[in-house]
Amino acid sequence: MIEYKSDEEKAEDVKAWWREYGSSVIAAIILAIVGLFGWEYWQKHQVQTTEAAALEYQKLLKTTDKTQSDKLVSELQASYAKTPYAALASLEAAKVAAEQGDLEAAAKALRWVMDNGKDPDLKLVTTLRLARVLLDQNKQDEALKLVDSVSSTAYESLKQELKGDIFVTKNQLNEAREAYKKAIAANQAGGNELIQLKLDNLGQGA
Amino acid sequence: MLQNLHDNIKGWASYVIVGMLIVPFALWGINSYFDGGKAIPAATVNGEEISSMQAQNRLAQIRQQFGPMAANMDPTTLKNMALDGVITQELMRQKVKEQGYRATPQQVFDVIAGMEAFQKDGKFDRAQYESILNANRRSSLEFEQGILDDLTNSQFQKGIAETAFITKAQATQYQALQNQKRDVSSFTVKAADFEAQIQVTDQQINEYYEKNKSSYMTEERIKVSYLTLKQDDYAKQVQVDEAGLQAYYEQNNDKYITPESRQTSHVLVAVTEPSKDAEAKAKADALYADILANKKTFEQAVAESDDKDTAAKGGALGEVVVGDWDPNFEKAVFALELNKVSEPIKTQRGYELALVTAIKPAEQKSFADVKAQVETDFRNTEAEKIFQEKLQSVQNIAYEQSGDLAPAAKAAGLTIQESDWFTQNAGTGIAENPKVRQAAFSEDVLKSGKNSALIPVTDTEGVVVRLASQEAPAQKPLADVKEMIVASLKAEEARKQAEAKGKELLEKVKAGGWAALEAAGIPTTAVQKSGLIGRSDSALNPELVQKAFSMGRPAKDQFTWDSLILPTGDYVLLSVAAVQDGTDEADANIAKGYSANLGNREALAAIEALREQAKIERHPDSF
Repeated sequence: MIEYKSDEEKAEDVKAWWREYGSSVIAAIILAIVGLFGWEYWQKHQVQTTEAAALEYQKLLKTTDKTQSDKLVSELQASYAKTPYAALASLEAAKVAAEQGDLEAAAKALRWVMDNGKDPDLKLVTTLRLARVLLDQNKQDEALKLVDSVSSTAYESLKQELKGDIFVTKNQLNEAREAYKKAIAANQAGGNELIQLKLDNLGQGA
Repeated sequence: MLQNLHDNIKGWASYVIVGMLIVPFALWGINSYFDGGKAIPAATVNGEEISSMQAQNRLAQIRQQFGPMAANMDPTTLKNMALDGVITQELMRQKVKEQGYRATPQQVFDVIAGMEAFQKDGKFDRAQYESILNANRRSSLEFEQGILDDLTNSQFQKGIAETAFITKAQATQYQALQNQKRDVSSFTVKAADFEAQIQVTDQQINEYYEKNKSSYMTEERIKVSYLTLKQDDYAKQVQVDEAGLQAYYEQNNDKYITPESRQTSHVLVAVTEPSKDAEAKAKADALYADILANKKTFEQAVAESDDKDTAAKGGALGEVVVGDWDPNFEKAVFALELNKVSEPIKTQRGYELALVTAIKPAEQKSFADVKAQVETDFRNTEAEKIFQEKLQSVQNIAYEQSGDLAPAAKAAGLTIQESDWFTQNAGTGIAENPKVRQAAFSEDVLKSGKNSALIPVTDTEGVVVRLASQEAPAQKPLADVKEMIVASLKAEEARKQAEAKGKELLEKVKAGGWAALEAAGIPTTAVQKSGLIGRSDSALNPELVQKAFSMGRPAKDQFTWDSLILPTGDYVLLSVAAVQDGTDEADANIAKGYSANLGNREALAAIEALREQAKIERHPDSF
């Protein structure tokens, strides 16, 4: 069946359609526009937050003043925990503390990353760093547990070197030797001198 | 189809369908309907494609880094390196995006300001920056975005590497290890001492020769026929007449000028080490201020100059001409008015004050005076044109008619010459040039018998070669190599005997200390007592030092014993009598080195972990 309609009838149809659906169409268009602006605003806000955090982190890397750096770190941890810079700042704080021999503060900063960090990959690195600090605090068993909790084979060399260090302090020299040897074999980055030094220092064993 | 649509679908349904059609066209355009399949990407990483173009660019970079070595490397290895590189980059990019890293505009500016190309007098210059970008047809927006991306993408890796640390206690411990000293003694059983008594029979020699025949071959030799084009040859043929020379002189008269020279004196405040730069600058500034204020004359300042040679002559340097001096100094001198003292100028030697005492202006040399020079220049210029033309035609003809050298020779009016015998590694005459040997031994010339490409021996000389005769590697007769074989056999046997003797002695000293050597007829004075030595001590062979430092720690008043066979076959007995750990305070720089090494390893491990988790498809054949 074919319908023929005059132009007036067609115009009538359009008008009828518009009466029925017009308000929905307008609502949809407005919603789309609001959504678009909202999205733009959200994006911009994200960039601004990240840039602010990145700036704080840059400041932290440059300052040598302890009060100033403590303030920057806690600010980043409190207000910018969603950005990666809070974690990086904590790692930097741990570095400074550990190099000055303040193991307590270093462990605290590293634990912040373990508890609040958003990046599982950064946490793996942090785990090994924390183990290194714990070892210096004579908490060998806890350190060993942390090392073993990292299952990725990419960290094999670093893990084995740490295990070697732990075994040495427990006077398990054969295990230490084995671990150092594995650390050297798994090291893809080169620069084995130090591990070799530690291994050699244990002698050949029985 | 559209008619059917119009006929059958009415009302709101038609709007919906048209609306749905609009979406794909708007997003992908009509192009994708005509493109057919897309090019295969070099790799996909977690569903994101890396174009073959990116991989290709990376490959080109790698080739450039390896330089000439790249030609000898397995192409598959290189491709895989390139692929690994771009995949790593993509992994880092994805990580950084997921975590929301972002470099700051300040960092971008710091990087740009640090680039030497954009600096003027050691400082960032905006005008220069913009003009260089313009010249390369790049907008500053695009350039800065590129740097922002690069900086951002490296932040995950850098964040790990830069925050790595070793604790203070570990630094001290490593330092103690590094500075450890050991009390080492050694005795060497020399392999050479056994050689004299060793007899080698003809039968042994024959057997050895038969077994190692393949290592006693002559090298492959070839002769080539070749064409040489020399620019100098054409210089002699250039037609010269007086009018032509005169015209050349007129056109190039700026070449025939005695340049301006300035009689100059100076005062030098030397900078002996970079840390004293500020001190020197202050002194130079003070001298300058004193001269300006008429508190000192230039001559008095000269008395304080660090350039003692010229100070004796009132600071006189002689005539300064463009091109002979430190560029900063030159620039200042030529900007100076007569008899005025310059501000302190930073030069390679330190800070200098300059004084111009006379100016001899630039002077045009007359045609008559420089006629000989003009003629040489004219000939060279003309010869270069002819040379380039001939080079072009020889190159083309030798390539087009690659089975024969004669057409190329004829076209350039050259005669074909023949070389002497040469090998891949050595030759005389034309084959002295390694580029020529490389071309002669290339696949095309040696195997396919074609003309070589044009070899640019120098800027003014080109050569084309083709194979004339070839001599395959041949077996060297026994007589030629007998001496070498005897030496090898003797060394081998001496090595065995030294080892046997050494092992026997090792058992003895382990039981009875170094004194036990006496019983074997060796005086204890033959034992080398090195005393307490460090890891980098040069008193002993480095291999022995390394071995000594990997031996067990002896108990008090005891020795640990070990042995080592050196590449010479010498058998060395080693003892360690005491180990002394270093006691120095940890050195900050050394600790930094350890941290940097650790950071490097941690960052690499983290990237490796990303690779492990990622879904990666590689298509090495796509580029």
